[in-house]
Amino acid sequence: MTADPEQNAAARLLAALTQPDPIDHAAAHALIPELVEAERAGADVDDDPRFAALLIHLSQCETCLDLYERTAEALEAFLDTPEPPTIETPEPFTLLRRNAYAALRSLRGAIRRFELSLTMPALQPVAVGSSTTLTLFDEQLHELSGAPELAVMLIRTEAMPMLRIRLHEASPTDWQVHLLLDDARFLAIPGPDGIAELRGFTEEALRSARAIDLLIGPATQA
Amino acid sequence: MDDSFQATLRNVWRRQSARNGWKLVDDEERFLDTARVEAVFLACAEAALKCLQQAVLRAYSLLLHQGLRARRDQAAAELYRALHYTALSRGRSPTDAEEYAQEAFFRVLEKLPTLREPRSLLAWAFRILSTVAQDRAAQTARTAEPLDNETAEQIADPLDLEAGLIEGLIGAELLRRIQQLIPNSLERVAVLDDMMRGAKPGDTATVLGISQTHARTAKYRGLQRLRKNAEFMRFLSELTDSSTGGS
Repeated sequence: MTADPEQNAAARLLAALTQPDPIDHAAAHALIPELVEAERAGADVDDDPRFAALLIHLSQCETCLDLYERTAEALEAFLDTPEPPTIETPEPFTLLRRNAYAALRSLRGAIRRFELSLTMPALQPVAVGSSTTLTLFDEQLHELSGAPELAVMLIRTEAMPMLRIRLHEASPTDWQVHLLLDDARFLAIPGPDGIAELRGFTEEALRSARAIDLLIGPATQA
Repeated sequence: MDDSFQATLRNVWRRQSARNGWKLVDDEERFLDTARVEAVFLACAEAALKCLQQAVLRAYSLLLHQGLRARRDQAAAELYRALHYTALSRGRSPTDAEEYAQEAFFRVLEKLPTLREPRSLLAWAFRILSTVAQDRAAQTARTAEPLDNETAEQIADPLDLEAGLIEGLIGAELLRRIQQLIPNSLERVAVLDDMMRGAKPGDTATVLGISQTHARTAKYRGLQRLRKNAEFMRFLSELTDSSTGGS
Protein backbone atom coordinates (compact mmCIF):
# COMPACT_ATOMS: atom_id res chain seq x y z
CA MET A 1 0.00 0.00 0.00
CA THR A 2 1.29 3.48 -0.86
CA ALA A 3 1.44 6.51 1.42
CA ASP A 4 -1.16 8.39 -0.70
CA PRO A 5 -4.23 8.80 1.54
CA GLU A 6 -6.66 8.60 -1.36
CA GLN A 7 -5.20 5.39 -2.69
CA ASN A 8 -4.95 3.84 0.75
CA ALA A 9 -8.58 4.68 1.37
CA ALA A 10 -9.54 3.39 -2.07
CA ALA A 11 -7.82 0.08 -1.45
CA ARG A 12 -9.57 -0.38 1.87
CA LEU A 13 -12.93 0.54 0.38
CA LEU A 14 -12.46 -1.72 -2.62
CA ALA A 15 -11.68 -4.63 -0.31
CA ALA A 16 -14.88 -3.99 1.64
CA LEU A 17 -16.95 -3.75 -1.53
CA THR A 18 -15.65 -6.83 -3.31
CA GLN A 19 -15.61 -9.48 -0.60
CA PRO A 20 -17.39 -12.62 -1.76
CA ASP A 21 -20.60 -13.34 0.17
CA PRO A 22 -19.84 -16.52 2.14
CA ILE A 23 -23.36 -17.46 3.31
CA ASP A 24 -26.94 -17.60 2.06
CA HIS A 25 -30.06 -15.93 3.45
CA ALA A 26 -31.13 -18.93 5.54
CA ALA A 27 -27.77 -19.14 7.30
CA ALA A 28 -27.90 -15.40 7.91
CA HIS A 29 -31.43 -15.57 9.33
CA ALA A 30 -30.34 -18.24 11.80
CA LEU A 31 -27.50 -16.10 13.16
CA ILE A 32 -29.18 -12.69 13.26
CA PRO A 33 -30.77 -13.19 16.73
CA GLU A 34 -27.41 -14.05 18.29
CA LEU A 35 -25.72 -11.08 16.63
CA VAL A 36 -28.41 -8.70 17.86
CA GLU A 37 -28.13 -10.07 21.39
CA ALA A 38 -24.35 -9.82 21.41
CA GLU A 39 -24.42 -6.25 20.11
CA ARG A 40 -26.93 -5.21 22.70
CA ALA A 41 -24.77 -6.74 25.42
CA GLY A 42 -21.90 -4.55 24.18
CA ALA A 43 -19.75 -7.34 22.73
CA ASP A 44 -17.15 -6.61 20.07
CA VAL A 45 -18.95 -8.52 17.34
CA ASP A 46 -16.72 -7.25 14.53
CA ASP A 47 -13.82 -9.31 15.86
CA ASP A 48 -15.90 -12.35 16.80
CA PRO A 49 -15.30 -15.17 14.28
CA ARG A 50 -18.85 -16.47 14.90
CA PHE A 51 -20.25 -13.46 13.07
CA ALA A 52 -17.60 -12.84 10.39
CA ALA A 53 -19.55 -14.43 7.53
CA LEU A 54 -22.84 -12.90 8.66
CA LEU A 55 -21.39 -9.39 8.75
CA ILE A 56 -20.09 -9.71 5.19
CA HIS A 57 -23.50 -10.97 4.12
CA LEU A 58 -25.32 -8.10 5.84
CA SER A 59 -23.06 -5.57 4.14
CA GLN A 60 -24.27 -6.91 0.80
CA CYS A 61 -27.87 -8.05 1.29
CA GLU A 62 -30.47 -5.30 1.69
CA THR A 63 -33.24 -7.68 2.76
CA CYS A 64 -31.21 -9.33 5.52
CA LEU A 65 -29.88 -5.95 6.66
CA ASP A 66 -33.46 -4.74 6.97
CA LEU A 67 -34.37 -7.88 8.94
CA TYR A 68 -31.37 -7.42 11.23
CA GLU A 69 -32.36 -3.80 11.89
CA ARG A 70 -35.98 -4.69 12.57
CA THR A 71 -34.96 -7.51 14.93
CA ALA A 72 -32.66 -5.21 16.90
CA GLU A 73 -35.42 -2.61 17.15
CA ALA A 74 -37.92 -5.24 18.30
CA LEU A 75 -35.58 -6.48 21.02
CA GLU A 76 -34.94 -2.88 22.05
CA ALA A 77 -38.68 -2.17 22.16
CA PHE A 78 -39.32 -5.25 24.29
CA LEU A 79 -36.57 -4.53 26.81
CA ASP A 80 -36.60 -0.75 26.92
CA THR A 81 -40.28 0.15 26.91
CA PRO A 82 -40.69 1.15 30.57
CA GLU A 83 -44.18 -0.25 31.00
CA PRO A 84 -45.95 -2.79 28.84
CA PRO A 85 -48.86 -1.50 26.75
CA THR A 86 -52.02 -1.41 28.81
CA ILE A 87 -54.02 -3.28 26.21
CA GLU A 88 -55.15 -6.76 27.24
CA THR A 89 -53.36 -9.63 25.52
CA PRO A 90 -55.69 -12.54 24.81
CA GLU A 91 -54.71 -16.18 25.29
CA PRO A 92 -53.16 -17.61 22.14
CA PHE A 93 -54.93 -20.96 22.34
CA THR A 94 -58.50 -22.03 22.87
CA LEU A 95 -58.96 -25.59 24.06
CA LEU A 96 -61.65 -27.11 21.89
CA ARG A 97 -61.70 -30.62 23.25
CA ARG A 98 -59.61 -32.89 25.39
CA ASN A 99 -59.90 -36.54 26.30
CA ALA A 100 -57.55 -39.29 27.40
CA TYR A 101 -55.82 -39.58 24.05
CA ALA A 102 -56.16 -36.24 22.29
CA ALA A 103 -56.25 -32.51 22.91
CA LEU A 104 -57.39 -30.14 20.18
CA ARG A 105 -56.60 -26.46 20.49
CA SER A 106 -57.27 -23.70 18.02
CA LEU A 107 -54.94 -20.76 17.64
CA ARG A 108 -56.39 -17.33 18.04
CA GLY A 109 -56.85 -15.37 14.83
CA ALA A 110 -58.83 -14.91 11.67
CA ILE A 111 -56.90 -17.73 10.01
CA ARG A 112 -57.96 -21.25 10.92
CA ARG A 113 -55.05 -22.98 12.61
CA PHE A 114 -55.05 -25.68 15.17
CA GLU A 115 -52.85 -27.97 17.16
CA LEU A 116 -53.65 -31.60 17.83
CA SER A 117 -51.71 -33.33 20.60
CA LEU A 118 -52.03 -37.09 20.53
CA THR A 119 -50.99 -39.36 23.37
CA MET A 120 -48.88 -42.18 22.05
CA PRO A 121 -50.06 -45.67 22.98
CA ALA A 122 -47.52 -48.31 23.97
CA LEU A 123 -46.15 -49.72 20.73
CA GLN A 124 -45.42 -53.41 20.36
CA PRO A 125 -42.66 -54.45 17.95
CA VAL A 126 -43.81 -55.11 14.39
CA ALA A 127 -43.51 -58.75 13.35
CA VAL A 128 -41.11 -59.53 10.53
CA GLY A 129 -42.72 -59.09 7.12
CA SER A 130 -45.90 -57.51 8.46
CA SER A 131 -47.33 -54.04 8.87
CA THR A 132 -49.80 -52.50 11.28
CA THR A 133 -52.15 -49.55 11.01
CA LEU A 134 -53.27 -47.75 14.13
CA THR A 135 -55.88 -45.00 14.01
CA LEU A 136 -54.84 -42.30 16.46
CA PHE A 137 -57.61 -39.83 15.65
CA ASP A 138 -60.62 -39.80 13.34
CA GLU A 139 -63.18 -37.12 14.06
CA GLN A 140 -65.04 -34.22 12.56
CA LEU A 141 -63.92 -30.88 13.96
CA HIS A 142 -67.29 -29.22 14.45
CA GLU A 143 -65.65 -26.45 16.47
CA LEU A 144 -63.80 -25.10 13.44
CA SER A 145 -65.53 -23.23 10.66
CA GLY A 146 -66.23 -25.56 7.74
CA ALA A 147 -66.14 -28.49 10.20
CA PRO A 148 -63.25 -30.32 8.50
CA GLU A 149 -62.78 -34.02 9.08
CA LEU A 150 -59.40 -35.13 10.29
CA ALA A 151 -57.94 -38.58 10.57
CA VAL A 152 -54.44 -39.53 11.75
CA MET A 153 -53.16 -43.04 11.18
CA LEU A 154 -49.86 -44.53 12.25
CA ILE A 155 -48.63 -47.09 9.73
CA ARG A 156 -45.71 -49.21 10.85
CA THR A 157 -43.61 -51.68 8.93
CA GLU A 158 -40.24 -53.21 9.71
CA ALA A 159 -38.54 -50.47 7.74
CA MET A 160 -39.89 -47.09 8.77
CA PRO A 161 -43.05 -45.77 10.45
CA MET A 162 -45.28 -43.23 8.72
CA LEU A 163 -48.12 -40.95 9.77
CA ARG A 164 -50.91 -40.62 7.26
CA ILE A 165 -53.10 -37.56 7.70
CA ARG A 166 -56.44 -37.28 5.95
CA LEU A 167 -57.96 -33.82 5.93
CA HIS A 168 -61.41 -33.48 4.40
CA GLU A 169 -61.52 -29.81 3.59
CA ALA A 170 -62.52 -27.64 0.64
CA SER A 171 -58.93 -26.79 -0.43
CA PRO A 172 -56.65 -29.27 1.34
CA THR A 173 -53.61 -28.35 -0.79
CA ASP A 174 -53.58 -24.87 0.75
CA TRP A 175 -52.76 -26.42 4.11
CA GLN A 176 -49.67 -27.87 5.63
CA VAL A 177 -49.14 -30.28 8.46
CA HIS A 178 -46.17 -30.10 10.81
CA LEU A 179 -45.29 -32.99 13.04
CA LEU A 180 -43.25 -31.90 16.05
CA LEU A 181 -41.51 -34.90 17.50
CA ASP A 182 -38.73 -34.59 20.00
CA ASP A 183 -36.12 -32.22 18.53
CA ALA A 184 -37.26 -32.51 14.95
CA ARG A 185 -40.07 -31.33 12.77
CA PHE A 186 -41.54 -32.96 9.70
CA LEU A 187 -43.65 -31.22 7.10
CA ALA A 188 -46.18 -32.55 4.63
CA ILE A 189 -48.64 -30.84 2.32
CA PRO A 190 -51.89 -32.67 1.59
CA GLY A 191 -52.63 -33.63 -1.99
CA PRO A 192 -55.96 -32.89 -3.72
CA ASP A 193 -57.39 -35.97 -1.98
CA GLY A 194 -56.52 -34.43 1.41
CA ILE A 195 -53.90 -37.09 2.18
CA ALA A 196 -50.54 -36.03 3.63
CA GLU A 197 -47.85 -38.53 4.58
CA LEU A 198 -45.22 -37.74 7.16
CA ARG A 199 -42.06 -39.84 7.09
CA GLY A 200 -38.45 -39.66 8.16
CA PHE A 201 -38.79 -40.31 11.89
CA THR A 202 -37.81 -43.50 13.61
CA GLU A 203 -39.67 -46.14 15.54
CA GLU A 204 -37.47 -45.30 18.55
CA ALA A 205 -38.48 -41.63 18.43
CA LEU A 206 -42.14 -42.63 18.44
CA ARG A 207 -41.68 -45.09 21.29
CA SER A 208 -39.88 -42.58 23.48
CA ALA A 209 -42.41 -39.77 22.83
CA ARG A 210 -45.21 -39.47 25.35
CA ALA A 211 -47.20 -37.48 22.81
CA ILE A 212 -46.90 -36.14 19.31
CA ASP A 213 -48.02 -32.70 18.23
CA LEU A 214 -49.47 -31.79 14.86
CA LEU A 215 -49.70 -28.17 13.85
CA ILE A 216 -52.15 -27.70 11.02
CA GLY A 217 -52.78 -24.51 9.14
CA PRO A 218 -52.28 -22.67 5.88
CA ALA A 219 -48.77 -22.60 4.44
CA THR A 220 -46.51 -19.95 5.96
CA GLN A 221 -43.36 -18.31 4.73
CA ALA A 222 -39.83 -18.70 6.17
CA MET B 1 -19.06 -12.77 41.58
CA ASP B 2 -19.81 -10.62 44.61
CA ASP B 3 -23.03 -9.92 46.51
CA SER B 4 -23.47 -6.55 44.91
CA PHE B 5 -23.44 -8.04 41.42
CA GLN B 6 -25.94 -10.68 42.54
CA ALA B 7 -28.20 -7.98 43.99
CA THR B 8 -28.08 -5.97 40.76
CA LEU B 9 -28.89 -9.05 38.74
CA ARG B 10 -31.80 -9.85 41.06
CA ASN B 11 -33.19 -6.34 40.64
CA VAL B 12 -32.96 -6.59 36.86
CA TRP B 13 -34.73 -9.95 36.96
CA ARG B 14 -37.51 -8.79 39.27
CA ARG B 15 -38.20 -5.71 37.18
CA GLN B 16 -38.39 -7.73 34.00
CA SER B 17 -40.52 -10.49 35.49
CA ALA B 18 -43.00 -8.00 37.00
CA ARG B 19 -43.19 -5.99 33.79
CA ASN B 20 -43.72 -9.01 31.56
CA GLY B 21 -45.79 -11.21 33.87
CA TRP B 22 -43.19 -13.99 33.75
CA LYS B 23 -44.24 -16.89 35.96
CA LEU B 24 -42.18 -19.88 34.83
CA VAL B 25 -39.52 -19.52 37.55
CA ASP B 26 -40.24 -21.70 40.57
CA ASP B 27 -36.80 -21.39 42.17
CA GLU B 28 -35.49 -17.85 41.98
CA GLU B 29 -31.99 -18.62 43.28
CA ARG B 30 -31.46 -21.36 40.76
CA PHE B 31 -32.73 -19.10 37.99
CA LEU B 32 -30.33 -16.36 39.09
CA ASP B 33 -27.48 -18.87 38.95
CA THR B 34 -28.36 -19.50 35.30
CA ALA B 35 -28.61 -15.76 34.63
CA ARG B 36 -25.21 -15.27 36.26
CA VAL B 37 -23.68 -17.85 33.93
CA GLU B 38 -25.15 -15.89 31.01
CA ALA B 39 -23.78 -12.63 32.44
CA VAL B 40 -20.31 -14.20 32.58
CA PHE B 41 -20.72 -15.50 29.02
CA LEU B 42 -21.65 -12.01 27.85
CA ALA B 43 -18.85 -10.46 29.97
CA CYS B 44 -21.31 -8.07 31.64
CA ALA B 45 -19.96 -5.43 33.97
CA GLU B 46 -22.11 -4.76 37.04
CA ALA B 47 -23.24 -1.37 35.81
CA ALA B 48 -23.98 -2.55 32.29
CA LEU B 49 -27.76 -2.64 32.58
CA LYS B 50 -28.43 -3.62 28.97
CA CYS B 51 -25.98 -6.48 29.23
CA LEU B 52 -27.60 -7.73 32.44
CA GLN B 53 -31.06 -7.43 30.87
CA GLN B 54 -29.75 -9.57 28.04
CA ALA B 55 -28.36 -12.16 30.46
CA VAL B 56 -31.75 -12.41 32.20
CA LEU B 57 -33.51 -12.62 28.85
CA ARG B 58 -31.27 -15.49 27.76
CA ALA B 59 -31.79 -17.37 31.02
CA TYR B 60 -35.55 -16.90 30.78
CA SER B 61 -35.53 -17.93 27.13
CA LEU B 62 -34.25 -21.33 28.24
CA LEU B 63 -37.27 -21.77 30.52
CA LEU B 64 -39.65 -20.58 27.83
CA HIS B 65 -38.12 -23.02 25.38
CA GLN B 66 -38.59 -25.91 27.80
CA GLY B 67 -42.16 -24.78 28.49
CA LEU B 68 -43.05 -24.53 24.82
CA ARG B 69 -41.60 -27.94 24.09
CA ALA B 70 -43.66 -29.37 26.95
CA ARG B 71 -46.72 -27.53 25.52
CA ARG B 72 -47.26 -25.58 28.73
CA ASP B 73 -50.04 -23.03 28.32
CA GLN B 74 -48.23 -20.53 30.53
CA ALA B 75 -45.17 -20.60 28.27
CA ALA B 76 -47.34 -20.17 25.18
CA ALA B 77 -49.21 -17.26 26.76
CA GLU B 78 -45.98 -15.51 27.79
CA LEU B 79 -44.45 -15.88 24.34
CA TYR B 80 -47.61 -14.59 22.70
CA ARG B 81 -47.72 -11.64 25.08
CA ALA B 82 -44.07 -10.77 24.35
CA LEU B 83 -44.81 -10.74 20.62
CA HIS B 84 -47.99 -8.74 21.10
CA TYR B 85 -46.33 -6.16 23.40
CA THR B 86 -43.41 -5.76 21.04
CA ALA B 87 -45.60 -5.27 18.00
CA LEU B 88 -47.57 -2.62 19.92
CA SER B 89 -44.40 -0.97 21.20
CA ARG B 90 -43.14 -0.74 17.64
CA GLY B 91 -46.14 1.44 16.84
CA ARG B 92 -48.46 -1.08 15.22
CA SER B 93 -52.17 -0.49 15.51
CA PRO B 94 -53.94 -2.86 17.94
CA THR B 95 -55.42 -4.78 15.01
CA ASP B 96 -52.10 -5.10 13.20
CA ALA B 97 -50.24 -5.94 16.40
CA GLU B 98 -52.57 -8.83 17.08
CA GLU B 99 -52.35 -10.09 13.52
CA TYR B 100 -48.53 -9.89 13.53
CA ALA B 101 -48.34 -11.61 16.92
CA GLN B 102 -50.65 -14.43 15.77
CA GLU B 103 -48.65 -15.05 12.64
CA ALA B 104 -45.29 -14.90 14.42
CA PHE B 105 -46.55 -17.14 17.23
CA PHE B 106 -47.60 -19.85 14.80
CA ARG B 107 -44.29 -19.66 12.94
CA VAL B 108 -42.36 -19.92 16.21
CA LEU B 109 -44.29 -23.05 17.19
CA GLU B 110 -43.82 -24.77 13.85
CA LYS B 111 -40.12 -23.89 13.61
CA LEU B 112 -39.23 -24.47 17.26
CA PRO B 113 -37.23 -27.66 16.59
CA THR B 114 -35.01 -25.73 14.16
CA LEU B 115 -33.89 -23.20 16.77
CA ARG B 116 -30.10 -23.53 17.16
CA GLU B 117 -29.72 -21.82 20.50
CA PRO B 118 -32.59 -22.05 23.04
CA ARG B 119 -31.05 -19.16 25.01
CA SER B 120 -31.81 -16.94 22.04
CA LEU B 121 -35.47 -17.99 21.87
CA LEU B 122 -36.92 -14.52 22.47
CA ALA B 123 -34.45 -12.77 20.14
CA TRP B 124 -35.26 -15.45 17.56
CA ALA B 125 -39.00 -14.92 18.09
CA PHE B 126 -38.48 -11.19 17.50
CA ARG B 127 -36.57 -12.04 14.32
CA ILE B 128 -39.61 -14.04 13.19
CA LEU B 129 -41.91 -11.16 14.16
CA SER B 130 -39.67 -8.93 12.05
CA THR B 131 -39.96 -11.35 9.15
CA VAL B 132 -43.74 -11.10 9.41
CA ALA B 133 -43.45 -7.30 9.36
CA GLN B 134 -41.07 -7.52 6.41
CA ASP B 135 -43.49 -9.76 4.51
CA ARG B 136 -46.34 -7.35 5.14
CA ALA B 137 -44.16 -4.41 4.12
CA ALA B 138 -43.26 -6.15 0.88
CA GLN B 139 -46.95 -6.65 0.21
CA THR B 140 -47.59 -2.94 0.62
CA ALA B 141 -44.35 -1.99 -1.17
CA ARG B 142 -43.05 -0.12 1.83
CA THR B 143 -39.98 1.93 1.04
CA ALA B 144 -37.17 2.12 3.55
CA GLU B 145 -37.24 5.23 5.68
CA PRO B 146 -34.05 7.28 5.38
CA LEU B 147 -31.87 7.11 8.46
CA ASP B 148 -31.85 10.89 8.75
CA ASN B 149 -35.51 10.72 9.69
CA GLU B 150 -34.89 8.48 12.68
CA THR B 151 -35.26 10.28 15.95
CA ALA B 152 -34.90 7.44 18.41
CA GLU B 153 -31.41 8.44 19.45
CA GLN B 154 -29.78 11.76 20.07
CA ILE B 155 -26.61 11.61 18.07
CA ALA B 156 -23.53 13.76 17.70
CA ASP B 157 -23.39 15.59 14.39
CA PRO B 158 -21.81 13.12 11.94
CA LEU B 159 -20.56 16.05 9.89
CA ASP B 160 -18.14 16.97 12.71
CA LEU B 161 -16.59 13.53 12.45
CA GLU B 162 -16.59 13.71 8.66
CA ALA B 163 -14.62 16.98 8.70
CA GLY B 164 -11.80 15.30 10.60
CA LEU B 165 -11.84 12.18 8.46
CA ILE B 166 -11.60 13.82 5.06
CA GLU B 167 -8.62 16.08 5.74
CA GLY B 168 -6.37 13.89 3.61
CA LEU B 169 -8.98 13.62 0.86
CA ILE B 170 -9.91 17.27 0.32
CA GLY B 171 -10.15 17.84 -3.42
CA ALA B 172 -9.88 14.12 -4.20
CA GLU B 173 -12.16 12.70 -6.88
CA LEU B 174 -12.89 9.67 -4.69
CA LEU B 175 -14.39 11.84 -1.97
CA ARG B 176 -16.47 13.83 -4.45
CA ARG B 177 -18.00 10.67 -5.84
CA ILE B 178 -18.70 9.18 -2.41
CA GLN B 179 -20.43 12.38 -1.31
CA GLN B 180 -22.52 12.32 -4.45
CA LEU B 181 -23.54 8.66 -4.15
CA ILE B 182 -24.17 8.65 -0.39
CA PRO B 183 -26.19 11.77 0.39
CA ASN B 184 -27.09 10.57 3.89
CA SER B 185 -24.47 12.02 6.22
CA LEU B 186 -24.53 9.19 8.77
CA GLU B 187 -24.18 6.48 6.12
CA ARG B 188 -21.36 8.42 4.47
CA VAL B 189 -19.47 8.98 7.71
CA ALA B 190 -19.78 5.31 8.70
CA VAL B 191 -18.20 4.34 5.36
CA LEU B 192 -15.50 7.03 5.54
CA ASP B 193 -14.63 6.11 9.14
CA ASP B 194 -13.72 2.59 7.99
CA MET B 195 -11.95 3.84 4.85
CA MET B 196 -9.81 6.43 6.55
CA ARG B 197 -8.97 4.84 9.90
CA GLY B 198 -10.17 1.24 9.67
CA ALA B 199 -12.91 1.92 12.20
CA LYS B 200 -15.45 -0.82 12.90
CA PRO B 201 -19.12 0.11 13.35
CA GLY B 202 -18.64 -0.25 17.11
CA ASP B 203 -15.92 2.45 17.01
CA THR B 204 -18.07 4.76 14.89
CA ALA B 205 -20.99 4.17 17.25
CA THR B 206 -18.88 5.21 20.25
CA VAL B 207 -17.70 8.43 18.61
CA LEU B 208 -21.20 9.39 17.49
CA GLY B 209 -23.02 8.19 20.61
CA ILE B 210 -25.33 5.85 18.73
CA SER B 211 -25.96 2.11 18.94
CA GLN B 212 -23.75 -0.41 17.15
CA THR B 213 -26.79 -1.53 15.20
CA HIS B 214 -27.46 1.99 14.00
CA ALA B 215 -23.83 2.53 12.93
CA ARG B 216 -23.64 -0.87 11.25
CA THR B 217 -26.88 -0.38 9.34
CA ALA B 218 -25.70 3.03 8.18
CA LYS B 219 -22.33 1.74 7.02
CA TYR B 220 -23.74 -1.27 5.16
CA ARG B 221 -26.41 0.85 3.47
CA GLY B 222 -23.67 3.24 2.35
CA LEU B 223 -21.61 0.36 0.97
CA GLN B 224 -24.65 -1.02 -0.84
CA ARG B 225 -25.21 2.34 -2.53
CA LEU B 226 -21.62 2.39 -3.78
CA ARG B 227 -21.67 -1.25 -4.88
CA LYS B 228 -24.79 -0.69 -6.96
CA ASN B 229 -23.06 1.98 -9.05
CA ALA B 230 -21.03 0.21 -11.75
CA GLU B 231 -19.31 3.39 -12.83
CA PHE B 232 -18.05 4.02 -9.31
CA MET B 233 -16.82 0.45 -8.96
CA ARG B 234 -14.90 0.80 -12.22
CA PHE B 235 -13.37 4.09 -11.06
CA LEU B 236 -12.40 2.61 -7.70
CA SER B 237 -10.82 -0.41 -9.32
CA GLU B 238 -8.77 1.75 -11.69
CA LEU B 239 -7.68 4.02 -8.84
CA THR B 240 -6.45 1.04 -6.88
CA ASP B 241 -4.71 -0.44 -9.94
CA SER B 242 -2.87 2.81 -10.56
CA SER B 243 -1.52 2.76 -7.02
CA THR B 244 -0.04 -0.70 -7.55
CA GLY B 245 1.19 0.05 -11.08
CA GLY B 246 -1.65 -1.98 -12.57
CA SER B 247 -0.24 -5.23 -11.24
